[in-house]
Amino acid sequence: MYKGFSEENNWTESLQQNEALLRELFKNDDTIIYRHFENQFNSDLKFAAIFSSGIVNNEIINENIILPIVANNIRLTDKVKLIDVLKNQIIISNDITKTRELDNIIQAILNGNTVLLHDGASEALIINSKDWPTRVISEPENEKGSLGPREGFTESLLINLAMVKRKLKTHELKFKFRVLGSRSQTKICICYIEGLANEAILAELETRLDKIHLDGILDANYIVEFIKDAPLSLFKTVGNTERPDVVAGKLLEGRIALILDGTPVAITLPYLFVEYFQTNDDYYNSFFIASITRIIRLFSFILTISAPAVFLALTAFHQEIIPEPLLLSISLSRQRVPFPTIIEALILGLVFESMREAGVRASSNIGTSLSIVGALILGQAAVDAHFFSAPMLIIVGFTVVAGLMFPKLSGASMILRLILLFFAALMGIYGYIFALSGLFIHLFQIRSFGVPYMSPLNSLNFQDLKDTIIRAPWWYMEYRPKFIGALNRIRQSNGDRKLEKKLR
Amino acid sequence: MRKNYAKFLFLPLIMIFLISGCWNYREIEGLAIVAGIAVDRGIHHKYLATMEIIGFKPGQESEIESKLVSGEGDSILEAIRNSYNISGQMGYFNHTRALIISQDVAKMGILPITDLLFRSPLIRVSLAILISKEKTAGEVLAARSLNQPIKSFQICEAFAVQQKALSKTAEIKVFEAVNAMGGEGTDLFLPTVGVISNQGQPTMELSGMAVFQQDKLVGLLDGEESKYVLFIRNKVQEGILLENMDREANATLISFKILKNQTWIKPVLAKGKPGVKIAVKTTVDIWELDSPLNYDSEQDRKMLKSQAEKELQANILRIVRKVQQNYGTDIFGFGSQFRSQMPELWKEIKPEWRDYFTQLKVAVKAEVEIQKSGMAIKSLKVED
Amino acid sequence: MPKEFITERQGLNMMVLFIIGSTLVVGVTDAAKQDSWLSVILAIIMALPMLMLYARIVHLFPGQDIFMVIHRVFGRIVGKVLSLFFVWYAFHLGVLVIRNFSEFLSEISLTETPQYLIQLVVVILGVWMVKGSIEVLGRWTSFVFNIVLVIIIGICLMAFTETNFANFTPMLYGGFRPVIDGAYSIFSFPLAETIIFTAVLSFLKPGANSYKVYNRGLWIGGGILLAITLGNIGVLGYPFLSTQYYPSYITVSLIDLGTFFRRFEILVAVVFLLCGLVKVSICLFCTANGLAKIFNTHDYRVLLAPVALLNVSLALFIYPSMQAMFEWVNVYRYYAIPFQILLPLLIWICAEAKLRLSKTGAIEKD
Repeated sequence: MYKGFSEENNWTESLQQNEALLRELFKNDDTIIYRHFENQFNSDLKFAAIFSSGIVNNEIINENIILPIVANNIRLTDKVKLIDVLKNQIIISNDITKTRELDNIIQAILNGNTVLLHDGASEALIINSKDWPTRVISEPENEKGSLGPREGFTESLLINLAMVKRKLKTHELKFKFRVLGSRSQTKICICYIEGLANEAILAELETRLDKIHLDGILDANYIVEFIKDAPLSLFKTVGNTERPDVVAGKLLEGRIALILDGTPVAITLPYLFVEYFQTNDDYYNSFFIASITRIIRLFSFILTISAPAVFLALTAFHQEIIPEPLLLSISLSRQRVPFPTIIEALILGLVFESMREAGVRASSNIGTSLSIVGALILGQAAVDAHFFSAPMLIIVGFTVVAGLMFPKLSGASMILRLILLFFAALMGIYGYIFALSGLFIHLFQIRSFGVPYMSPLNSLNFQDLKDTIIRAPWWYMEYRPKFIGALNRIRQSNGDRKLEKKLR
Repeated sequence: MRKNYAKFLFLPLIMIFLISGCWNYREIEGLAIVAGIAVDRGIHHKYLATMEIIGFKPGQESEIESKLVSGEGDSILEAIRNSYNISGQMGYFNHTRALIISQDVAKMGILPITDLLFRSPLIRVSLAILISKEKTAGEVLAARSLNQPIKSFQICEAFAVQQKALSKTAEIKVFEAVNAMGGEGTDLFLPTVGVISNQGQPTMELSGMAVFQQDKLVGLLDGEESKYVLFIRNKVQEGILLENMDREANATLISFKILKNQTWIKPVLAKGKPGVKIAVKTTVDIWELDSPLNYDSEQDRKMLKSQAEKELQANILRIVRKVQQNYGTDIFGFGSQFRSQMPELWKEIKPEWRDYFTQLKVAVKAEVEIQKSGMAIKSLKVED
Repeated sequence: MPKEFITERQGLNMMVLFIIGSTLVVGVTDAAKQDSWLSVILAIIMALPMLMLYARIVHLFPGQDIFMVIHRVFGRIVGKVLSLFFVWYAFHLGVLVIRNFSEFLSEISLTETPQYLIQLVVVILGVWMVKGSIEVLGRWTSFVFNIVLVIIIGICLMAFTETNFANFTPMLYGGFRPVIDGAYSIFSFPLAETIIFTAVLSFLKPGANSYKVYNRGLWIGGGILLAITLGNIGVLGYPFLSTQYYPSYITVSLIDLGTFFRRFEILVAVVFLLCGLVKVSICLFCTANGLAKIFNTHDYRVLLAPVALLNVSLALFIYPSMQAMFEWVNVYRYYAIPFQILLPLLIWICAEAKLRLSKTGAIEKD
């Protein structure tokens, strides 16, 4: 990686030379601290601790590295090398390694470890002293739930893993580390439960990860776009979440999770279409309410992509199927509106989308005034001035509100809405049906790591629908979803409905 | 190379949207929604079509108003199209609810009109066809309507009221008219609409029916007569039955409210001659009595029942006679009863059915079941 | 590429949608007037042995479609010629469906939109669907099937409220001849058109039963046809029904539940769109697949787009007018005899003979 320096002969026994080498590498990087010190009993023993300030724990360096070395009377024997004495007897640390590799040393410094050199040794000690400021664990903004666990992932990989580990205390839960990105050296971790996760999917994931040669991986999405099955599709075939409880739930279903360092977003896969409509709240809420809200969500999705298109098709092509009272009131409201319906829909869509985007970007205290100006004043004025017709305003407004239900789908639904609108403008409701058919053909074509994306909606048999359109009670979901290809389908050892009866 | 093709693919795709944008695209506010059509004899051409268009009064608080526009032509379509010259708007016929035909036109035959109606994909076959009792059909559309600003819609509401409260006429939709005209052993009748003076202003009124032979108008029946036609056709749902009771030389008028009615027609072959037996079963309530007489004894009730039955039978028979003698057209659908119940006989008599019909022996058996007398135990006796 | 499979259920759903596809709006023949519904029942019974024969052909050579079967039974040269016949039938059927499709849409609503645009869109969707694989078609169909079924059941229930039972009388007024006549028409269009499925059901999952697919498909599809026919006669009645090209559409337009819930006819169009798309896709698949076998092309997908474009071109000028299209229905019943009855019979007899003669059986050979 670091051309020219990785040859071993550059690394000598001289502290001075070695330090000079590092200083050359880290030229113009003033955060690297080179701390020289000696043993108080034997000033011939010269040491240097090299670390990057800001990402190290000063206390560890002071108390556990420098203090023992300076204060202890180190007895040297011929048998044991000084470096081993340091490693085994002097330095107090839970993670300490000996290395001769320059690469490792450089990485260690950059990762916040302390490198200890001493004069006369060709090896260095890498002592774990990582400590950088992390965000406290808080509830994720985008995936709020009214019930259930509140914690969300942070930017620290180890803390994230800890959160998952704490939920699944089994030795079958595996964490495989990899490093991706030649410059960012991002650590990623593949989590799965052995015996549940499909080996074929795991192998497929590994090969796809092997193909990534980007120099910097800053967020989960960098990877997502690489490993996604249908790269040009609007739909995600890889899921992401900020919640450890969601990750744990997916792992239990036999899915695989990918947790990255430096981002609070974990990736889960395979990801199916229905997962857009499953929220963590569903599982913590009463199954009646959860089922109803899930149906509402599905329904809203269809509405949010098709309301403007259907409205346009009905008012501009198929006036015959609008009942007279409605026809007259729509016609009345459009009386002095200058724009054709399609243009009206496009402009209003643009206005609402920009308002939504402004709401996301603007600081939160402007948000309220934004909504007042946007929704109330602009809307009212536009209708009064006969700029836009009230029905269209209602339709587009509703569309946008319904779209807020699926933050993960917002981009896709916006584009779908446009496509459907265009086809509706072309051939009315038939164009809309054609476009919708096309959408479904596409959805039925794509797969997520070999699993058909639309499963289990394509078979619509009841056993598989328990956790899709509705959320069945927990005691009723005896099996893991078949379509994930889980090896071990039985989730509850003995159908818990029996237990239910016993309890009664 | 591949990439270049992809670029060119976008062109036709964009073109599709750009060029095609508006084939069938028509803005809703640009439609002249035609609520009703009236067809008359024209002065210069064969037909004069008057269309009632739903218009919007300009102003901040826009309101719906009815506008009339007419055109002449040698065919109905031409007449309608010629009216666009005046209105400057294309008519939109999918919400057309009523078609009123003047008697002159109906006498010439309504086949061209019904043909237009069931041929055009733009017109719904649930459109109601009516005959104007006035001189022209346009008059009806020009009259005032009370409830709805749109007169043709008012007609449809009136039909609903007829069905619920009066049964003096019935709505005939295009496909029903076609079935009646084209079907074997049945002739067409259509509801009639007229103009009467209400509070000094001409207002439209729905009542009575027009009798057709094939597709040509042959006569009109008034509302009372139509009711008995509907009795025979088993189309009475609710309504009022007025009975004159001759009781001890006291003429008494009783209003019954019809609760439900069922009619059976049975074709019979008596002595080689076809005949028809009509059985009517009506359930009624007493709603109005114009004498202090009470019908609370068993005997009285029986008498009332038999009187009412007799009266109903006589009325039904009278209308059958009238149609048989005056018009000779089978608006009761007796022939179709022969056809469905005695198909072999029907095949024989079919060619001369019209003759058979005028000679047809009709026997009516009515059964009136008086259920309740309202909230009153008895009627009030006026004392000094 | 792993072998594609469709499940028994998907096969069944495809067959049902295929059967009701165009018949849904065009309506069954009205030769027997108010007894048409008897014709439907009779046609189902007539079609049963024929469809069982098709199923037998599929069953004899599991995993091999009709083109492979023909090749094996008749050898290379004769096999190719006979395959060409079937390819033509599938291709022509596709053309008819596409034309039907665009004619219907342009009649009821898209009066000014050029028909080729509608045809093009349909065909593009069909190609897209089949290009995925037969699996995609299967999944899509069984997804759509539920929607279609709900709509049809809803329509039939609502139509029931408008039914006039006098329309069904008198039964057998015109005698039994027109009923048989109508039954044969219904047999040839659409029931026996399922001969196409001999090229599709070879993709059934191993262990699935082709008889079951054909049998149930016939009864469910035929049942829906029967329900639609009953509804049309009950609501509209004769002679009005015989004046209309698209009776179901008119029937549904008459449904009236209160002042607001009316005008459901668009649903008929939607159902027709969905079923028609399935039918077009199956025809496309069949044609491309057969051509691929004839030309020894490895992948039928390459041929899909050309076949589709040819379909559209032919569909544009195959009929000069709508009247001609409906006239063709009367010719079709004779035209279809060789494809629906003679050829399958021949193939079946030869296949059985061949299998009997080579005692080892063809199944083990592969």
